[in-house]
Amino acid sequence: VTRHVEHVMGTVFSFDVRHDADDAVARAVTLLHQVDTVFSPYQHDSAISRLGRDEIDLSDCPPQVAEVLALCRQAEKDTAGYFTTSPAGRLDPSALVKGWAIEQASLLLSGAGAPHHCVNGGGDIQLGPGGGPWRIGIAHPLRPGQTCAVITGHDLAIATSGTAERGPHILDPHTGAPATTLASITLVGHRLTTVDAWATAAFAMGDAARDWIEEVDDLEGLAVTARGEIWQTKGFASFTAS
Amino acid sequence: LAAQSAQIDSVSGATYTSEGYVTSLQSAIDRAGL
Repeated sequence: VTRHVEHVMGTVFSFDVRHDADDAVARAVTLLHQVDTVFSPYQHDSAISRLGRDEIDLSDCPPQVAEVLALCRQAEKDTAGYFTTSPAGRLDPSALVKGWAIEQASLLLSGAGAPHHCVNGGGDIQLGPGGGPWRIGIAHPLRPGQTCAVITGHDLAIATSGTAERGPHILDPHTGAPATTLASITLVGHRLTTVDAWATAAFAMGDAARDWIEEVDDLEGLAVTARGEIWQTKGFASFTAS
Repeated sequence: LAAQSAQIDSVSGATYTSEGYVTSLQSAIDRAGL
């Protein structure tokens, strides 16, 4: 078993790998720091900051930048514009980069022969394809320290967006105002890159996210409204512990 | 926190900062496992 906690990307990554995989985890950690160096909107000289100021072209950036921006464009299409690559008016794909980085770390571990793992990046989780079922709590956004549901399984992506940790920071791109209908929304699917980006978009949608999620294949969701009511999509119960 | 964290492997929630992590359920789970 290899456990590791790493502070990176402004948050904390927790690795729980059910193999002796020190080398693979070290490589995954290096990958996360490399991604942060390229994509940090807070570092003046990161490739993404320089690209946003038109100081360099996409062709001058590491190839991951073109890959991530293409994924962002797809997420914008998938969510009718509720996901946006420029949430504050400047280029900032952070809402997709973290989920993508977590999924890349998970793929690296699987490729290194360690597929029985849980990678948690600041509250968004990729469960590897190997091993028995994990039990993943969903933090209750209105009751600190408590959970509102438990998901069981493996080979799953679980992402939560909400206001509990950093306040009302997700804007509805169509109005420019902070989204306040929901306290949190959790999406469960298979690949964290899309599931995490969609969770941000679904939070901005508010209660309308419920119908939107039902239309997407292999995606389920649970939301806690600002009033403390809980709703979930029809298939969500198939993931919850009995 | 301990009783709940004993029954779950990890926690999904709104993205915490490095400071917010310290008091999180995930932090309690990590401390128990490291």
